[in-house]
Amino acid sequence: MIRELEFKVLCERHSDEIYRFARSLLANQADAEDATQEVLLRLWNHLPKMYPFNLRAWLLRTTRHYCLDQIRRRTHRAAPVLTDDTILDEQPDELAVDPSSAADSSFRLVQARDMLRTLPENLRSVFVLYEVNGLRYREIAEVLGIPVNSVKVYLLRARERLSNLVTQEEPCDRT
Amino acid sequence: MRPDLTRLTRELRGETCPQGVLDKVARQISVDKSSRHWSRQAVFAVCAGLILLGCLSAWRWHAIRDTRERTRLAEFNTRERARVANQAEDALGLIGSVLLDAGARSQKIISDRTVPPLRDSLETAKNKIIQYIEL
Repeated sequence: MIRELEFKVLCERHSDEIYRFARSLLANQADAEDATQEVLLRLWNHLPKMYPFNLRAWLLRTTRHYCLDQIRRRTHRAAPVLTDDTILDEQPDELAVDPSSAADSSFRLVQARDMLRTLPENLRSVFVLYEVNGLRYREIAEVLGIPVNSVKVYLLRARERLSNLVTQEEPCDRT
Repeated sequence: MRPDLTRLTRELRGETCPQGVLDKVARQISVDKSSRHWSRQAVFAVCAGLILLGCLSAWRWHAIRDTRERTRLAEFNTRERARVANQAEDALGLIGSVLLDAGARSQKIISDRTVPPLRDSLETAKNKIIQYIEL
């Protein structure tokens, strides 16, 4: 009973950041949901022997390993990667949300994701973990298994590249 | 950080994990728990069965061992009795032969020891009679 309660609290606290991290690493929403589900199930299985103080790092590290494993498997199988665009194309019209209300925010989100996707995996991970999930340098270093200085360098590079991308996008938006 | 980049991160920060995922996890866990409960019961049943089987085979092995022991003891007793009878027979035979031999020897000794004095006394008596007649 205590295990269930503890798990529920941990799910509520960490599921969003697991999902966001998985979403940034994987190409589509369904894969990110699968990854989140898998990581939470692993958390459930490992919960009795978990050390609670580095739980967050463990969760994000597990998420990263799972996602990279999925990407690697897909590359080996050479199966086509379904991005959100292809999935949206396959969806029937009845399931679509009211376009006028959701268009603006979802467009910006898609744009942000597209920009993120252009970054290499290490820069993307550092950027998402720092800017989106709010981890500290040391925590990111622990999750990715790299030195703190590398984290700082990667973050700087990711910001630079994204800034360049945003500046390239803006004139197009205005036109 | 640039404001446009801040806006981008704000968009990404707004993403939340769909409730469906958490529901799926909860369902999966309940299924896992029930199957684990079932498997625990199965393991318990198998263990109990194995213990019972072990007890039965131990009991059976013990019974077989007892029967074998009893048969072996009975065979040993029969053999022992036969051996004792043979030995008694041999001993009685030996005693008989010793007695016969002793009888034969004692007869000879009696004749050896008694005949000469008897002959001597008979000679003496004959001589005395002859002397008496001559006188």
